Amino acid sequence: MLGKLCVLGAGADFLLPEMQVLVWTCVVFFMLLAVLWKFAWGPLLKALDEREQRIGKKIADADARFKEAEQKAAEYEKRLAVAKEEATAIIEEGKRDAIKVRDEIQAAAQAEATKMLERAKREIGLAQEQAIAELRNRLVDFTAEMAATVIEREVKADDHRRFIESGIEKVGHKVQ
Amino acid sequence: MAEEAHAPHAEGAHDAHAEHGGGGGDPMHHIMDKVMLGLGADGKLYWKPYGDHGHLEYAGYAPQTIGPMKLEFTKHMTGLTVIAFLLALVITGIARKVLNNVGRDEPTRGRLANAVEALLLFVRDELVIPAGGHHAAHYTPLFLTYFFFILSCNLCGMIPEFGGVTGNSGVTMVLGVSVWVILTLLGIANQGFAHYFLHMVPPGTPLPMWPLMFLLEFMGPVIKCGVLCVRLFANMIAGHLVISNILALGVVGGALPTGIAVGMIFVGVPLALGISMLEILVCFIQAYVFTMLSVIFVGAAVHPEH
Repeated sequence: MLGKLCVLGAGADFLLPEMQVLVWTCVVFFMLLAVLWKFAWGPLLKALDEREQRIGKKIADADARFKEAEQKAAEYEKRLAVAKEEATAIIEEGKRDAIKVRDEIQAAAQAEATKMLERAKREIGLAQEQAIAELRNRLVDFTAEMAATVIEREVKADDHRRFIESGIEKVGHKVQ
Repeated sequence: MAEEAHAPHAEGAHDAHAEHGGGGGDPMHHIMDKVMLGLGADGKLYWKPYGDHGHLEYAGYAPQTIGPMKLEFTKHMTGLTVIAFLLALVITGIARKVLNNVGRDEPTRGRLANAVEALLLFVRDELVIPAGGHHAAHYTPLFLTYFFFILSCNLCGMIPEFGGVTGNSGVTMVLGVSVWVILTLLGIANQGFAHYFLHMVPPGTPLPMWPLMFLLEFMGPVIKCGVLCVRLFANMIAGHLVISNILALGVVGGALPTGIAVGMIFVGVPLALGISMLEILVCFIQAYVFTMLSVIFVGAAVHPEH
């Protein structure tokens, strides 16, 4: 029974090809080859090649655009940096100018104030001198009247005056 | 065929069936080719003249012949035709679909279309171009046909009762010989007739050695293609033999006590399932190996420097 399981026990005729199978396979296979080559593989491979090229071109284009964009970005960055620098410079200059203007204004104000002070001092001095002079005049007149009254004799007014003024001069020195 | 149905059975056929009795049997008839339709020498058509077990059913049947060719249509021829027809139909359909998609610059849609496209690109980019160089790449459709045809035949062989087409030595012989014929024709077309044959012998061969070397070099591709044929045939039929013999354990066990016979079924079926899984792998491997080797042989013939 088990002997029947042995392949060669069943006869080795299955190893030998049959002529009709050979001929038929030949016909079918070459027909299949022709049909598939003409209607399937040929057009398919061509289309896939084209698609490959198209995709390759798209990738290359995208690459080129990416590079271009990168270049532009770098350029803009540079420009931005320059602009920033310029802006900083402008601000610095503005600050400097402002400080200068402030200092100038301050200095001018200071000078003005000093000048005003000086003038005030001068005016005060003048007023003082005027007051003193007036006071002295009055004193001279008054004293002359008093002296005339006291000595009851007319002295020449000019003599009096000279005399009193010298007296006041002395007194004035003491007062001052 | 109907009128022949009552024809007396041949003597040999009766004996064979007697041996078949009891459920015991030789699983070979599931693997071997079977005549489906035969044109008898008497001009009548016979349906399965040898029966399902390969034994002559009609005493008067003798096939009509043309030379060495019997006018019989067999199971493997049927399977082969069905596969070729379906392949042509499905793949041209898919090609149209893919072409449509590619033309509109959109991705390939559909699972089958994507699978075929992936296999196509695999054969072209992983097999043909690396193994055969760009000269062999012109003939990619040839290798694609080999690959898809052999793969389909191998896989269909796993369908019970479909018949292992590539387990038929005739089919694989045609495939192997076709590789040789094509590589010779392409070699001559690419290198020129004289150049192709004269340059088979390596330059610098001493003159007395020349005929021997020529013979050896000429026989090289012949033997290689013969091996291609035998490798595919042997691999495919070996798997079928193992599976059918394992499955037959239960049938053979019919002569044994019932318990043992049933036990054998429980051993045989899971074992056959496992081997079948392995066979599916072998189906792919053999299609791959055949295609790759044919690429190498054709590549070498088309452009021997590579």
